[in-house]
Amino acid sequence: MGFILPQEDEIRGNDKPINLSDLRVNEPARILSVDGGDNLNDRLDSVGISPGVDVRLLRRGAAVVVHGEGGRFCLREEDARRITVRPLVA
Amino acid sequence: MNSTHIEADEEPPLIGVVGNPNTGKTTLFNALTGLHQRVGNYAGVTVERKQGRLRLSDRSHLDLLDLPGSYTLDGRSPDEKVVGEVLKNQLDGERPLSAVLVVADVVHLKRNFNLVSEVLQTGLPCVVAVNMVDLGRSKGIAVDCARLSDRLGIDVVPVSATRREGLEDLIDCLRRPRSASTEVPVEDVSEWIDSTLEGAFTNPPGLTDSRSDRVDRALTHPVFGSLAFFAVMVIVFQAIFSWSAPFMDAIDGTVSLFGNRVGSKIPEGLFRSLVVDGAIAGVGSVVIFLPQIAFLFFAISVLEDCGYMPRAALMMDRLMRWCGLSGRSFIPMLCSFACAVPGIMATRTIEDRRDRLATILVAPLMSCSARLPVYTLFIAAFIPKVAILGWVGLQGLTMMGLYLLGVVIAVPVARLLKRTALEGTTVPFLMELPSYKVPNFRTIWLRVYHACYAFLRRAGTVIFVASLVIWALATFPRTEGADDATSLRNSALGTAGRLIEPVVKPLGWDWRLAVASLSAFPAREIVVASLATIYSVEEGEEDVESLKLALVNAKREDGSPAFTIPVALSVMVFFALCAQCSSTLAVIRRESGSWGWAGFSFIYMTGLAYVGALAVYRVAAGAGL
Repeated sequence: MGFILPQEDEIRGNDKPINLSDLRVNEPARILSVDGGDNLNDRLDSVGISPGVDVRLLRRGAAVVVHGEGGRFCLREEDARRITVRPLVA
Repeated sequence: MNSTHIEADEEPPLIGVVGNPNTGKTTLFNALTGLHQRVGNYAGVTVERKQGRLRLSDRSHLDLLDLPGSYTLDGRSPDEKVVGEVLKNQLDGERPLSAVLVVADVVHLKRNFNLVSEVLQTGLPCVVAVNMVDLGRSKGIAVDCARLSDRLGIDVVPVSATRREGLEDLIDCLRRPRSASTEVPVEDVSEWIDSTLEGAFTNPPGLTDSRSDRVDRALTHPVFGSLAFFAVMVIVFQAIFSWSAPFMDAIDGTVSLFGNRVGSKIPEGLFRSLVVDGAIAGVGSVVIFLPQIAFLFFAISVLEDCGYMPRAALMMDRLMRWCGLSGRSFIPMLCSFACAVPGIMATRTIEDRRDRLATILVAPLMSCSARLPVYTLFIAAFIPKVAILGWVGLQGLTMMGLYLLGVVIAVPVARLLKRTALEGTTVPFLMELPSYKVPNFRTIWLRVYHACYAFLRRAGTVIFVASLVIWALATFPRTEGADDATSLRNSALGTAGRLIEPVVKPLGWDWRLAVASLSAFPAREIVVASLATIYSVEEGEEDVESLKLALVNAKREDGSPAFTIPVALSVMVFFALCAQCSSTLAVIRRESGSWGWAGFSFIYMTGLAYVGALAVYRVAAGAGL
């Protein structure tokens, strides 16, 4: 989990930061930053979705479901896009 | 402040129960207090206040206050704000807490410790209950509560509320709660949490609830999830309308039997009329909905307790969003199909004040169970019993159309409200999807019990008084020696009806229908009893069948039939959209904090009802029905 390897069969670079909403289902990733303004940041923070935390995306679409150590949470895609993550190799 | 001894005759210490949502806080609260609960409101704010009494072995007591579920003490929704205010003793009229019980769930202990740290910062004595330890064991989660207790200087107790494990230990600790021995830093809380949990809590890496995830893959799937949602709704409505029917018939029979028995014991006259037609018929016509209320709350409690409700909200978010709302508004809307009062109260979990207000304002458009007898009566009497498309009947379609009407109207109303009076930036939509679990019978039973109790209390007070008032208005001033129809015509209610007849004439109504709908403004369910009085159904035969016949045979003063299909449709559409419920208006005032919004609801709904009834009457009459 700790180190990152590039994966060749992917169009996007595996170590490149991407938006949470662009993760594939079940792909592990680590949150780099949350850029949603105080309102969203505080709310995400209170449920344990904050930089440094490992997450997985369980559902994509207009409403995404993200699984972090604080549990399973549903948020809208436009808010998920404000969360930058780095995909991890499982 | 730190109460270590409890005197039996002074007020017992008050312990606030806090916890993240979905930690089993309410289950634990119910397990500790059972039926010794008092439900009310906090002074000045519209958040449900639930207090229970815990009886100790030495016959002393502890009072537990079940605070709303919250992730933090600085939350923004009305529910969440109360938690912080009660803990910081900022809420007027509240006794200061002597201690706090934090309920945490073992699977998400780390996240729960955010709240634990905030509670410890208040300096109040505290006990932490680590709930769901049975589930934790099966998942291989190791938590060393003794070690956490040592580190924090407060009691940390492993419990399982559903299995009632560890409750004695917990009660023991609640009798002498301690204040934390460590200082919680204001900055870098997450580091403090990590170091506190270090070595005392191990969560297997990559721990997930794969079973719930698999179920979710189906239930939140764009296609299968929608189908599942639709199936669940069909079952819920089937339960409310079909399965409750035998119970409702039983209550109906009991009420009319009771009315006859009482009626035969009282000599004919004004007093008998007051008791039988006013009190018993009035309250009886409302109590009959008790089975529907019970079934609806049963269904909602099961869906909520097993964890499906947030998934339904997720599936509905897209649709609700189109109305300018979010998935959170879905549960209040669903509740409103039974009764707008609990529906409006369920909006308290919506953080965004504008979203909440918009939901409150459209919730009464959902066809509540009080409209059902009106629909049933008029459909049975006037809509032909013909089949369309084989097995779908015209009567069933009409019923469905009336239910859809409220939903369809609510969409533009909500959109319009959110674009004008309630415009503004929205609060992000963030909702926990807890793991699925087997519903807890005790939690469900208590919820149904409290809902039924509140409903019966309302029937015994508001409806009782309204029924008597309607009776009095329909009886006085009396016309000596005249028949029932003439005395009604000359009564205060009849005079008012004839006064507004020109207004309702375009809807196809005569003055008697005007009287019936006028009488239904305090509570729409009264209309059935009013129609029975107005169309002079024989005394003691106030069942639906004889009322139906009376309506079909009713004549206007010019001898033409009082009801035709267009008139029946116009009445039903009017009842579907009109704000005929004093309890709803009172609860809107309470929840929105102003009579202005209650007045707005009344005006816009009554206006819509009039326009809708007018339109359907014109179209139906024009089509030659």
